Amino acid sequence: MIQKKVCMLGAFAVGKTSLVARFVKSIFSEKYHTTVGVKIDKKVVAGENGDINLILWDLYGEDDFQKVRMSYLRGSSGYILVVDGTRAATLDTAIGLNRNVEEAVGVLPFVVVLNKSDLTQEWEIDEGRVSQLAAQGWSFIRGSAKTGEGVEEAFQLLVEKISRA
Amino acid sequence: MRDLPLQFCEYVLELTSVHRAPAYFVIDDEGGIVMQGGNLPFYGLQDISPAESTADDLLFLTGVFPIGEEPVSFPKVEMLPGVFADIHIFNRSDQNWVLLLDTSGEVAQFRSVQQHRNDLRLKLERQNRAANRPAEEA
Repeated sequence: MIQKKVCMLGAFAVGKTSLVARFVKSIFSEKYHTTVGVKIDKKVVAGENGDINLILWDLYGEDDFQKVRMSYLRGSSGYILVVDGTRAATLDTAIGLNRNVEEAVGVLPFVVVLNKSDLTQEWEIDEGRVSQLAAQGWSFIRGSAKTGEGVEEAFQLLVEKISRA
Repeated sequence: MRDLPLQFCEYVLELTSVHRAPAYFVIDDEGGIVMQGGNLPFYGLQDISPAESTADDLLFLTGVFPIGEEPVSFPKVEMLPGVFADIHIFNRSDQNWVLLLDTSGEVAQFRSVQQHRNDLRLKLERQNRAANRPAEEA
């Protein structure tokens, strides 16, 4: 079976680990556990030309003190950029990470998940910025690791983009 | 090791072999496992064997090959719950060498500091948002 490496990228506490847990194991925990280094998981998904074994690299979150090492992306077929919809600054982090990836390993397929869509009252992401980025070709999916909304769709969309790349 | 007396080299080697549970694989260009050894059970890799496994069974190697002259490293990769390895991949004698070194202790120490720091920052962010909201709404 074909194997494809996919990295989870984003600021700290945006829900990268929770999205992987929801996607792979259909579970969610309210408790926040910071990720150190990288945790690798896998899940078989249907691709356009047969099943694909997705190898998911859940990387530690980027912050002012700790930049994500681009060497982790070696061999990646694509990546998921995770944004916390209740923290506007995490979109800036995602934009910076995307720039770093493109400089380090080139242009790869990616999908942006605007996570925590269940917290509508606390939503901070400016729709105008999202529209601007979408006009530049960015693909956004509003989702929630807590409710499961948009999670399967995000990974499936990435698989489709990888298949077409 | 260049410019280092043999005694230092022996000591560094001893430190590594005693405290960092080295394990290794040698992978050929077709992804076959040519050789393996060291403390593989420590990383949960005891069932990998050259006869029955390939590099595809080592998920951390997905997409990595071919390796050029520059070595590749993946720091702090979780191999088992609570067991982390620094993974180094390099080419020598036309073969791909994969070295795993234990870094679990360092990760455990770092995690407690990082968790505390992130919890604090999330709390500060929440406080700032709460403080700014009434002014914005007014």
